[in-house]
Amino acid sequence: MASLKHDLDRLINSARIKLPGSTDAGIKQELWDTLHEFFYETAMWQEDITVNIVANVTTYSLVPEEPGEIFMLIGAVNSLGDGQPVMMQTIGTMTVRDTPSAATTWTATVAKVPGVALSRDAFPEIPDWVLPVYGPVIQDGLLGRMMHQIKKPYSDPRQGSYHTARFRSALVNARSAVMHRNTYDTNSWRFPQGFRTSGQRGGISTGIRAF
Amino acid sequence: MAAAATGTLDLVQDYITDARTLLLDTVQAYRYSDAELVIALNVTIADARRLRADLFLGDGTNTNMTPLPYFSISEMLEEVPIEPQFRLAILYGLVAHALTRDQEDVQDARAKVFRDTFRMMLVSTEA
Repeated sequence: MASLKHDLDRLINSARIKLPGSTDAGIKQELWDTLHEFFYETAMWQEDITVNIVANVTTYSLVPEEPGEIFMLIGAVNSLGDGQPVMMQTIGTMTVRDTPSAATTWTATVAKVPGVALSRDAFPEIPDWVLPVYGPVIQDGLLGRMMHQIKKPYSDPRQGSYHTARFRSALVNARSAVMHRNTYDTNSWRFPQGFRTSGQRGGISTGIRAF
Repeated sequence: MAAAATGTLDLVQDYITDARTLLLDTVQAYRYSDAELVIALNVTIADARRLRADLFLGDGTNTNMTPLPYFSISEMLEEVPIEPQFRLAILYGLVAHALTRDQEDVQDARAKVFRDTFRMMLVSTEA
């Protein structure tokens, strides 16, 4: 299996070919912006964070264990899997609506965007699976951004608009895939766990339409 | 004689040596001093920064390359941090600046050719 570095190299090599007169540093700069837009628009990069709930405390810091910056709190569930009313008015801080009466453990799900790359090779830290699956989409976004720059050898607003349109269109599909939890022709609906019975198969995607 | 150029245009010395070839100034006593050519390199880098800021992002980490790389006569073995595909443009800009000081008409024309080529290489695929 190809590594993330290999996939990024391939993406940048392809961009070099299609963007005569570009610089590697310039490509990497726009790549970060493209990845940021991709993850921000799709909320595809998610992480579950364990939150130790304390009695009478309503605000909790959310700190992801993996790279990436939180931009959205998707939800939180208690130890039984029941959704809890929460919000994130300040990025990185979860506020619970109902003051907890006892200590327990919840799981908060957050969506993330790439952090600013600080490594020497300047590649942003992103999940390994993104480029094998969405590499062509990312490339369209990258080419669109590069070609829309002014007064560059690779400036080409017409081609740039073409690639940007393809990118934006693919974002819609990617967002839809997230909503369907990457399953085909199903939805991510889940029977409320507080009302579940022993026979309920809620949350299991079979890929088959059920009538 | 000027030092042998490597052709890779890595160091300040490489630029100065190759510039002397283009300037037909390889035999001492030189018409253009090292100091003058180093100044020409510095101003060319500044002009390149105006046209192509992305050339000066360094390794793309957390900052622009500020202040711009600037060299003195004692730094001939310092690396000039320009991506390889744009080094020829910098060389042409350096030569154009050096030629501009000459008063002969023919040199004005050569200076313009080098300057135009420098700019075209930075902002266009035609060069």
